[in-house]
Amino acid sequence: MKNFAKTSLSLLAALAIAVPAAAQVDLTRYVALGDSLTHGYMNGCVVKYGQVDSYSAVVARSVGANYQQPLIDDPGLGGCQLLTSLAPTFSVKPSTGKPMNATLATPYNNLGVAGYKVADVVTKTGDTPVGLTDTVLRGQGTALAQAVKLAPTFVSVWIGNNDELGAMTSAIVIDGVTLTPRAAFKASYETILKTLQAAQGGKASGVVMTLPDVAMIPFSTTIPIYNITLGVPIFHKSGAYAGTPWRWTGSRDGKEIPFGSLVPLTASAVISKGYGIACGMLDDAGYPATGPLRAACDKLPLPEGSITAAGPQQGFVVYADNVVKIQTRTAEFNADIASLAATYGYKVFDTAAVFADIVKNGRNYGGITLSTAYLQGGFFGFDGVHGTSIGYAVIADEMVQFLNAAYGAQIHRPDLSAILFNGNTSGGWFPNGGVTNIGDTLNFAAAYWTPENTEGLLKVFGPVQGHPAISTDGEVPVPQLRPVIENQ
Amino acid sequence: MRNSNGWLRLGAVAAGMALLAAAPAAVAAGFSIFEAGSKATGMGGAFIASADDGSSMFYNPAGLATNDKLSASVGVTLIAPFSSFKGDDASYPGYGYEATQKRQVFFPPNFFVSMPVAKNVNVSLGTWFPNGLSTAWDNPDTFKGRFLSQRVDLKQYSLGLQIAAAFTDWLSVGVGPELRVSDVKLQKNFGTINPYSQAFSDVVHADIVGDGFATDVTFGAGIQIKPTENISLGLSYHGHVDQTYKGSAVLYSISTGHPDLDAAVAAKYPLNTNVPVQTTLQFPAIWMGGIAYHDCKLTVEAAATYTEWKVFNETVFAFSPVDGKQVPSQVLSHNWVNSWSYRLGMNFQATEKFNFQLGIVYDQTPQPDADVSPLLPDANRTGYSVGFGFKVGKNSAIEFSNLALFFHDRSTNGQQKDNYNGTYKTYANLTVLNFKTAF
Repeated sequence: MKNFAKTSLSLLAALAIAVPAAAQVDLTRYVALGDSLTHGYMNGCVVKYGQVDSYSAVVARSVGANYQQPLIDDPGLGGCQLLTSLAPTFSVKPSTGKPMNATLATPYNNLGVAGYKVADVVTKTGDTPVGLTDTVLRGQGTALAQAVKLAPTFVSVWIGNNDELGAMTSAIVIDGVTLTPRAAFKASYETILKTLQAAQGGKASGVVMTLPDVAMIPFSTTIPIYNITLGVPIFHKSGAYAGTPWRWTGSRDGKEIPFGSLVPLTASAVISKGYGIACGMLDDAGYPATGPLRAACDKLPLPEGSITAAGPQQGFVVYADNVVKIQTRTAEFNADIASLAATYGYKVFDTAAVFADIVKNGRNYGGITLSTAYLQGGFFGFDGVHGTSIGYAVIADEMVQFLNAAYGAQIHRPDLSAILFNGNTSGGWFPNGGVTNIGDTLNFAAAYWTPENTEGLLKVFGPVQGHPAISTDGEVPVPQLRPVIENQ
Repeated sequence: MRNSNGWLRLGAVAAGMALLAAAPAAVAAGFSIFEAGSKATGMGGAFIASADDGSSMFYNPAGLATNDKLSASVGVTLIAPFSSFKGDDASYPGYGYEATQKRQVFFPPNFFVSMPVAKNVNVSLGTWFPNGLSTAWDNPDTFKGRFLSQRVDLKQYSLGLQIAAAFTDWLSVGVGPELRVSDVKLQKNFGTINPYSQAFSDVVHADIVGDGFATDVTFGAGIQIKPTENISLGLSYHGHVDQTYKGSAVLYSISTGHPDLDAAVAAKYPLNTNVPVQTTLQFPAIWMGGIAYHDCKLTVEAAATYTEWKVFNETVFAFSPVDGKQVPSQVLSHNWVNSWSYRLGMNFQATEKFNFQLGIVYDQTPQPDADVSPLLPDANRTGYSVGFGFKVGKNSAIEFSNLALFFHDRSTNGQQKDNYNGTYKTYANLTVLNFKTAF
C-alpha cells in the first residue's frame, strides 16, 4: 500500500509536469489594465474601429476568449482625426460617439482608460465633468476594483506611460508636476500588483509591461533639431560647431539648442511663424542681409515649457538635460516594474525593448516594411504618440510570442494581414480621398503643420495651455519660410 | 553578356528559338533540371557510370566515346508541376491562408547527335535545359505575396559541342564547351503604407523583362572507368556561369484613390516608361559521380551529385535613373548552400526489343528557410521513376519514362526573411519522350 501510494504520487507529480504548456496561460477571464495604449486610443480618439484591435483584444481573439470592451460607436469620443491631404492636413470628427455596450452586466475585460496615470488605476472612479473614464468604469468603482470583480485568470498591466509622457508633450519637465515621483509611482504600482495577486489567489498569472522611451516616438523625432528653415540643413562654416548643422534657437539662453534636445511635433505651429531662426545660420547660408527672415532671426527662440501664474505654458523644445531626465525617470519606472513583478510573481513583457527594436529594425511583412516614421511608417497614428491598429496588432503579436516562450504556451499568433491590408478589422471607416495639392505633396517629407492642425494635436495631449507668446499679432511679420522644393 | 563572334551569335539564335518554345520549371534542387533523356530519367538520373546514349552529353561526356555509328536523339520533357501554399502559425500572411500556383505544363526539348570521327573517338553536338524556373501565382492582384513575386520565369538552355575518346577498353574521357543562353522575367507589385488608410496599398506593378538573351560559355567534362568486366565508374562536371541580364522594367501606376498620394508615387518612380535594369544570376557548377554494375541484361547504378549552390548568394536588380527618378535597387539575399542528391537506378534488357528502367532519387534543397518565398519555394524531394524502351527497326528506338517527384512539405519555420511564413506543397510529374536512331 505504501508503495502504491508512493507510485501514485510520483505519477501525479509526473502528470502535473506533463500538463500541456498552453494550459498555463488561461485567458478565459483576461483583464487588461492601462492607459490609452490599452484603451485602443487611435488618431486622437476612442472609437470602435480602433478599439476592436486594441492590443489586448487582439491577444484575446487569438484564443477565442470572450473579451468585452467599452466600445464607442462612430464618430467616437475625443475628436477622431482623418487625414485629408498629405500636406498634411487633417479633419476632426465630432466627439459625439455613444457607448455601445454600456449595459454589460460585468465589468469590461479591457479596463484601460486614456489619460490614466498609475495612481488613477487605484483611486479614480470617474471624471468631472463626465468623460472617457465614465464610459469605462460606469460608476462601478476603480479600474483595479473592477478587475478584481472579474476574478481574472490572466492580467496584463501596461500603465505608467502618462507618468512621464506629459513632460515630453508639454515640454515642461518638472519632477512632481509632469514627472510622477518615483516613490509615488512605485507605491501605486505595488498596490496594483498586490491586489491582483490576491484576487488571483496568489497565483500571479499575467504580465506587466515596461514603458517605451518617449524620446523615440514620432511625436519627439519627426521634427529634426537642426534648422531647416531654408529647406535644407545649413552647416556651421566656422567655430566650435564647424561642419555641424545649425540648430533651432531656444528660449533658455537664446542660443542654439544643444544636441540631444528634442523638438516635439507640436512645434510646427511656432516654427511656421518664424521661431527658432539664428541669424548666424542665415549668414552661413549666404542669406541676403535684407531678406525677410532677418526680421525674425535671434528674436523668437523656441519657447521651453514652463509653469506661470497663468498655469502651465506649452513649450516647443525639450532641452537635452530634460530629455535625459525623462529617460532616467522612465528607466527608474521600468526598474521598479521589473522588481515589483519579481516580488509578486508576474512576468515582465519588455515592451520598451520591443519598441526599441522596432525603431531600429522595423517589421517586414511580405515585402513591405513598417517603421515608426510619422504617417509613412504605419506603426503610429496621426498624433505621433498612439499606435495605429497595425501598431497595436504588432504589439499583440509580440506579446503572444512572449507568452508562448515564457509559459511554453501554444497560442496562435494573430493574423495581421487583415489589418495590414484594411487598416483594421472593422473596415469602412476611412475617408474617400482628400484635398489634393500637388505642391504640398512634393514637399511631403519636409513640410510642417499648420497652426490649426497643431491646435488639434494639442487637444490630443490634454489640458496643457497654448503658450501666449506664440501669437505673432503685433510682432515681426511672418516671413515666407520655405520655398517649394521641386522634384522631391 | 558576350557576343564576341559569329559562332556565339548563331548559338544564341538557336538557343533562343528553343527558349521560346519552352519554359521549364525547376524539378531538381534549386532551379536545376536533371532530366535530359528518357533512359536516364527512367533510371532516376543514375546514369553517370552507365551513360551510353546522346544524353551522355549532360550526364557524362565520356559516355559516347565508343559509339561507332552516326546517331541522333530527339526528345522532349513534359513537366507538370502543382504547387500550393498555406500560411503557418505566423502573423503574415496568416494562419490558414491558402494560395495556389497556376497550372502550367512545360516542354523543354533535347536534341543530341554524335558522330564517330575515328575509332573510339566521337564528336557530339547537343542541346538540353540545365536550369529553369517558373512560378506564377493565381489571383496575382490579391495574392498576399505579391510584393515579393507574382510571377517569375527563368530559362537556361545549353548548347554543347564535345569530343569523347576511349584510350583503352577501360578508360574513356569526354570534354567540350557549352554555350549557356538564358533569359529572365519577373512580375511583382510595389506597395507602401498608405497614410490615409494606415494600411498597405499597392502603388506600382513592375514588369521586368530581359532584352534578348544572356550568353556565356562554360564547359563539361567526364570520365568513365571500367576496372572490371562488370563494374564501371563515372565522374562528370559542368562548370558554373554568372549570367548578366540587361533588360527593362515597366512600372505601371496603381491608383490608391488618393490623387496626391498617387502624385507622390509618380514623383518618385518613373512610370509607364522603359526603365533600364540589370541583374546577374549565378548558375552553379555540378559534380556527378556513379558506380554501376553490369550483368548481361541488367545494369544497376548508384550515383550522387554535388551542386555548388553556394554561389547563389544574392540577386540585385539595379535600375538606371530615368528623368531624374531612381527606382531603388531590389536586393534579394539567398545565401544558399551546396547540396547533394542521391540516385539509384536500373535498366533491364527484357528482350531484344524491349528494355525498362526503374529509379529512385532523393534531392536535397540548397535553400535556407529564410529564402523560401513565392519567388522560389524550393524543398527536398523524393522521386520515383519508370521507363521503357522499344526498338523500332534495326537501329531506332522509342523511349518513354515518367518521374513522379514528391517535394517534401516545406515550411519556412517562421524564419522567412520577409515574414511570409507558411508551408509549400509541391508535386511535379515529368514525362520524357525520346526517339533515337543510328545510321
